Amino acid sequence: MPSLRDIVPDRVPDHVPPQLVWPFDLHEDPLIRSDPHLAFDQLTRGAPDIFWSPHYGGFWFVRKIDDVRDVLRDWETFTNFPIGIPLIQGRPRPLIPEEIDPPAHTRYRNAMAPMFTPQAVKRREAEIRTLTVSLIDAFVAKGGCDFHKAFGHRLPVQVFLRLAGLPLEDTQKMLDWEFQLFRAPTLEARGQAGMEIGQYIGALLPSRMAAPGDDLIGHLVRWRDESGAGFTPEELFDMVFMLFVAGLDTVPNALGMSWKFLAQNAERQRELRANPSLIPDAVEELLRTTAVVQTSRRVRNDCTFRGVRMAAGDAILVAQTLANRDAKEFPDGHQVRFDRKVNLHLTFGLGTHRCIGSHLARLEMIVALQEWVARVPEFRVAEGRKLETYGGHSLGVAHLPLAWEAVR
Amino acid sequence: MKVTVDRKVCTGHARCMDICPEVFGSDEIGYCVIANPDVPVELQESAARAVANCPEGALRIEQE
Repeated sequence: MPSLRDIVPDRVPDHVPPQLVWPFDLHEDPLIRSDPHLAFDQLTRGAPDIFWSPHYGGFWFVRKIDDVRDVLRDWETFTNFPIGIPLIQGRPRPLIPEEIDPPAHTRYRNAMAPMFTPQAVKRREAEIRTLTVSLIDAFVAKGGCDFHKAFGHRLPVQVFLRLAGLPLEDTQKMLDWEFQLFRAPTLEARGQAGMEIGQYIGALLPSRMAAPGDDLIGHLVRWRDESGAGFTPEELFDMVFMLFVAGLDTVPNALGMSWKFLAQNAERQRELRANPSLIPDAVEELLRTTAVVQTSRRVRNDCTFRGVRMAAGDAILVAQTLANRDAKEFPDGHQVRFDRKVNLHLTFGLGTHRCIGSHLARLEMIVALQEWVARVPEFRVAEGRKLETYGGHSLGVAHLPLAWEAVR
Repeated sequence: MKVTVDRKVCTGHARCMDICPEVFGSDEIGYCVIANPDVPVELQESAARAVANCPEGALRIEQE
């Protein structure tokens, strides 16, 4: 694969003082490719609290919990458009609602939010459990599985298909698109997957607009604001596209990183097997310690933040995984503890762009862990292959071969 | 004990209603509404934990 660093050259603009320059390669550093959460910590030891990495066109790196909180919340200073480091290609339109700031954001957010409240996702719990159990039943007797192929990617895709009123037969097609869109070796292949998803949605929408069903898409089609106005076909397309891509990479990565930890730390599985009521708090702690999404922002206008001069258009990498370990909030932040009574992690972000799917993600993780503990014997990483991980904005493990004593 | 929410600060993390659903409820978009502002003694520990776990700092204990 061509290096992203060959495509987007390093850059240190004039307003960045040399003492704040600290190279950090979020995509391709060898340590990122073997243990991304450790890499974020080790590769920034000794760096200034806020530094400029010259890679991928250059970006600010923010990691202290108070700084991260302020950057995430202050959408007037730090805009969400456009997201991503490097900025590879301009999208024709911003992602709705992720790349839209208030006040326009509020209308989209309020339309989508009722589908993702804790109460709304709770109504899907039985269905999520049925999907989970049927996936586990297919491999448990074999004494092992390729975690992502058999479960980690499959469950979130199937949950999404059900929520959107789409047939489970589309699972493999969605899995292929998801892999191409986020992990294909060339940018062309990623763009192609995005186009194919767009064509699929484009073909789907007219019938859904004519006869909206009792599902995510139908809900958006029927939605009206106080004045009685609904969404245009273009807005509907953009929102459905966002729903397609938002949960399909993040939840698998969260499952993968959590199951990797449990496979490598069998004694922590034993804690949960002995006391399954710990599982919701354990999921919260795994969310903290294996935060998948490291989001980004752009400086809207020239400003000074914590004494650092930033220029309009500067990119900012928001290292949520490091905020989640900041000793100021978590004195024992490097320990994974399933008994924390207060856990103010920033894995789902903060403020107006807080992850809208957080309650669905949590529920999928809790149900998955409950059913694994109930049905799959103590599991470990299968011998052999070294575990390769992904860096970038969505940290994850590429392959996770698991093994256990086969159930007779 | 009395608890309050600053609705301008809440963004719907819903940790409160997860930890102490007897006191913290939800509007139609999942943002906090206090269902039971005067917290009975038996729920005070759970309500205090909910307040401490609000990621936005939107919840307050007004009187112990």
